Amino acid sequence: MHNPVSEPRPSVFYTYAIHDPFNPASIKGDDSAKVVIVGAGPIGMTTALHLARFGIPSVVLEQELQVSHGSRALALTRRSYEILEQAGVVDRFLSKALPWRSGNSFYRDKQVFRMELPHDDDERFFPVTNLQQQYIEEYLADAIKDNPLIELRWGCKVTSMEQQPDKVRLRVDTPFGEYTLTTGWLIAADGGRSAIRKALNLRMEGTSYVGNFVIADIKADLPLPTERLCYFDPEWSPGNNALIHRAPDNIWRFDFRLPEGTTAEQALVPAYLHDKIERILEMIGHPVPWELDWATVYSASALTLGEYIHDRVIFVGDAAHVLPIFGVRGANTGFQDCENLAWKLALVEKGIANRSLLETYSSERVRAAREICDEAGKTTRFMTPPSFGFRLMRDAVLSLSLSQDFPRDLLHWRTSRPHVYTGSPLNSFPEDDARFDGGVACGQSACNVKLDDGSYLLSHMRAGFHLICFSEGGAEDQELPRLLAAARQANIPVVTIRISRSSPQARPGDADIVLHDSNGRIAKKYAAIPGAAYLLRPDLHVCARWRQTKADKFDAALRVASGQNTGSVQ
Amino acid sequence: MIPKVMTTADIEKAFDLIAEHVDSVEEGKRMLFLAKACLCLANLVGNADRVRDVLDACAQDL
Repeated sequence: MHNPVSEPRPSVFYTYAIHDPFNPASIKGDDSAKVVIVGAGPIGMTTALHLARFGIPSVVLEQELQVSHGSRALALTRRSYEILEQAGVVDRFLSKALPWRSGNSFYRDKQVFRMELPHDDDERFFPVTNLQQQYIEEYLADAIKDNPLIELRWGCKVTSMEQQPDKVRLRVDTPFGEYTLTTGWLIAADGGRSAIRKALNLRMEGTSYVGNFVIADIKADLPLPTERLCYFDPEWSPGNNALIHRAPDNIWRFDFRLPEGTTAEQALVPAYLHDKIERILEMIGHPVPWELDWATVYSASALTLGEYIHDRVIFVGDAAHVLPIFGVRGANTGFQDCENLAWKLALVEKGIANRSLLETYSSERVRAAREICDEAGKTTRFMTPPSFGFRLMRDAVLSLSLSQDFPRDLLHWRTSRPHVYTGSPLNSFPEDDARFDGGVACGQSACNVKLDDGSYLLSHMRAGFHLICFSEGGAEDQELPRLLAAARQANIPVVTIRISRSSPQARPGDADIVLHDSNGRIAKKYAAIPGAAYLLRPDLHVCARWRQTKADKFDAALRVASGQNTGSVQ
Repeated sequence: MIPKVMTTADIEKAFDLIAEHVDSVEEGKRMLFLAKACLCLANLVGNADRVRDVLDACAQDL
């Protein structure tokens, strides 16, 4: 019998709610679901919300009765916020989270590097925003509660799984006993220690780095801004480093590398932890009173499965890849997984696309994970040098950075960014793509623009492909009705957007959305002349663009991007 | 083969300077000093492939 903890977890800032466990006695007849998602973490729940946008119902199984113990995820990127905005949950996040864009690195009491992440008025969201995982999960679970297409079952632990032709059969244990659940698709969102991954005996590829780090979240009244602070080689821990992040509710995350030979057990002894937290507070010049909320020990890994789809089982988030904490890559990579997967699974499940479209979830996201592993590895080997040579050169860079500018960029921690699906089989018309002088290239995610009415371009996006047409009432408008008609006649949802500087009034038979671009900001960011058009996938990545286009080109690009045509299109 | 681009007099001057600086640095810091010097000189060479050639040449006959 599965007996999850039913007492609220201890916390100095967060009040845990205990959810009622699912009772299988409520099931009438055979229990089956189109999609079952294992794990109600940020990625599992966001996957369910994105699937629901495309009309796909799901059952989410969570073995616990409450949200995350402590906050593993903390810093979400702009791209993650855009994905949460599409899921319809972002406003609540914004009301609580702390945005930031700057980071400082210190060595021997001197600031040796400062970075400002790019940000301008066209962005709705800051480059990075800090919010504890407890709140992230609470807000997502509340959104799920209001969504008729999603059922979140607390206290449900998968004890076994069996892949059968076209379905997966699960045995699920609960505090009331076991039951059987059959599903067409099983999405494993059960984290870095994924039981589903282990059940399938799948091995991850990549590198695990030496060195242990402590995360200690404390409540303290510190007069510091929301920035990332990094201290190399502090006096109290020579050769190591410490990171500081601010979170809502006066919570501060201290993240520091343990000296070689110190075990995780030793690090979590209260006296040891107390001493190190006091030393960090002393180092930053604010020895204020504090309370510990939660602490854990981790080591850096850059690992990924080589394939995310195994028959009817699909891996997302940390279940698919385990990435180093440096550069905020964990949850932020996972959010991009959900967004990439949801629309593809929906089109396949509805019988519109064939399985080859779904396979591109795996090929695109595995490629992204491998690139991230490579890049994160460079940051990680600076933070925790794996050998004498790397330690020597890291120390050389730090020492030089006190007086020289040229090596300071090596202190950059390479923050997570939206993946670019260059070379994706879903892209088409590469020659037309190359004709643009700038703008948003095929494979890139659509960029945001602030509109005249104060709204943002990406906030207008809906569930479906998007055909964005730039029109000024000239000769290019002759083709526009045919383009709009082709979009309307497509067998999958295509939202049409007409962007105009001079003629923003909606006309009979006009696009679904007409946006006034009075000062040409959208056209400039998209390097678009009148007559230009962009086709965006439902995850808002560009899959084709033309300086001038025709309805048949749009049709062809849509077929390629929706997995209805596997041939190459020039 | 690393091409000779300095005059013998200048190479000799560099030889003296490196030796004198290594001697002037405290014993436990000499490795760090040489690593810093390598990185600065690599930056001035301005070409990672040429830096690799230099390192490969230096790794011979130790």
